[in-house]
Amino acid sequence: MRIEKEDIKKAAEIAKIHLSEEEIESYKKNLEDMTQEFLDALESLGINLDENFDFTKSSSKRTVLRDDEPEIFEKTEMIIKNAPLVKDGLFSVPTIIKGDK
Amino acid sequence: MNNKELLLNATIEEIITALKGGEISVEEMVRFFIERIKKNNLNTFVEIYEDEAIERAREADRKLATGNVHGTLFGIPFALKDNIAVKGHKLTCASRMLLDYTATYDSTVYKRIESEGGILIGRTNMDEFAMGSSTETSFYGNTLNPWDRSRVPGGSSGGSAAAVAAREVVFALGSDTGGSIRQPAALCGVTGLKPTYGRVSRYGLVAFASSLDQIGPICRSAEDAERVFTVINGFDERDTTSKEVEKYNLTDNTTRQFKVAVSNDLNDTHLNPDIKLNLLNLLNDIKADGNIVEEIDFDFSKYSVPVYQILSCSEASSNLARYDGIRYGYRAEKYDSLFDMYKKTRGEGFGEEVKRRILFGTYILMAKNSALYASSFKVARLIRNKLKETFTKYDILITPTTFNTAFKFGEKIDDPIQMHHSDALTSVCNLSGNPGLSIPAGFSRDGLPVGLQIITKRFDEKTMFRFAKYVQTKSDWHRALPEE
Repeated sequence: MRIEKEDIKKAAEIAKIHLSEEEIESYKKNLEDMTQEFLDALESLGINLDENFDFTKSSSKRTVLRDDEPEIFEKTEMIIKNAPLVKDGLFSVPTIIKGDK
Repeated sequence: MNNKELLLNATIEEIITALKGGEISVEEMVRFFIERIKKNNLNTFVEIYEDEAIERAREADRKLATGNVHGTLFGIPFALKDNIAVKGHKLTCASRMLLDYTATYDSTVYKRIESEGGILIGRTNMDEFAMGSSTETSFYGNTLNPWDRSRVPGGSSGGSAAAVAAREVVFALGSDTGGSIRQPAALCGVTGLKPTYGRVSRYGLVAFASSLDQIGPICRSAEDAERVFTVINGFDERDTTSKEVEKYNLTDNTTRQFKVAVSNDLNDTHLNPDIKLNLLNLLNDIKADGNIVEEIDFDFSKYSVPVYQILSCSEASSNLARYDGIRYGYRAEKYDSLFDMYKKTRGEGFGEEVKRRILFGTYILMAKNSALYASSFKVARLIRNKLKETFTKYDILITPTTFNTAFKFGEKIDDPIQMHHSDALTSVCNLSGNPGLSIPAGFSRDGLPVGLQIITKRFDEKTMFRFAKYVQTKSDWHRALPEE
């Protein structure tokens, strides 16, 4: 199945992954092959390609719940230590909204 | 048995008996295995927790001295795949993305093994984020197959399987999303179990495709695998997909007759003739004992891989969205905005295969492709129903675990489609939720291990282990050791 280069770029944009032109070309080919394989499988099995699938029957009917009991969380330091950039005990990120001072 | 023979060949039960009888100390045993890891140099482990393991061994020896010995796995050295969390230890999924990440809590499986006396030796190598069938996508480099160092150990749990095969540890845990426990177990000549979905808690396992992922043991024998399974299985309120079924206990050793279905994959022209020959011999033996053995049409190995790719990549694209370079993990050095930081971080932090799968999953989940996603569920349902029907007539379904024995490094890494097909015979169980066990079933003419896959109905690991233990009384394949 043919996939447009624009679709690969769009998927990379949604997935927030930077790709080189070279990578886009090679992934385009892989994704075409993987999709085609699936379409071939459907055809051999005589299954129609459509959206008619009742997902409500697939999942367990019961939602597993546990009591929402408050507990003292003592691992803050461990969690902060894993961050690549920390400032005053807070996760540091690039500026998102610029003020107009 | 002398001590070396004991440590290389004994079952967990026999080792514990030897410990209690004072034939060997836990510390001696732990040092023995750590020395082997270093000497073998197969790159099975990405980190050894030497000091900690020896300290725990000494603690266990003190307990032995006072006769205070408890635990199904007392004193037994084991390893964890590098995607299973142990508080205070690195947890990297063999990815650049997580090289500096330290786990902040314990996985349920680790807690359960620890409370039964197991001694953690280290974390093992794997394909990056468990995506691969050869352990070649690891950031830490290749793990070598102990049977032939020019060949892959399989994957993604390649480090765990090779470590058990080379007797560097008594058992190891892996994770299996499409065959990542059973395929490397087959390629390394050891026993590997993918339990029924929902039977072993996934709490503390780094998510790849949550509806397919299961943790399971890789061991020297079916007997050991069953023992480790009794420890790690059971309901866990911290995993919403954990099933409230009765906790699994060891089966008795009563023999019985089995009704065995053999999949027609055995006649597939793609199957390595040496694998076919070994399995046919074994089946003849089983038949000669009075078991019913019948071939059935089970064509799903032809279709399972593309369906598996659609479902697993879709889930992966969502699960791996969390790696954004903010709260943990790698962050690109240079960027000029928030979105630029995300893109560069993920572009540089993930390897080629991981990016391919995230991209494919994202593409499948685009609105215009929803028919592809929905249709993949139809195939998965078809597989589930076919298995259900099979188990109304049979106790056991047998397939080869893989179409081929261990391949050479570099043979498939540049051909992702061919690599994905390493999961053809195993991913069926992940799509349906059924348990699957790979056990050693002989060797090819060039001396490479062959694996037999045993599938049963869901939550029927009892029949699976009864059958596997019976098969292992018929051969010594599981006791064979690679040359050193």
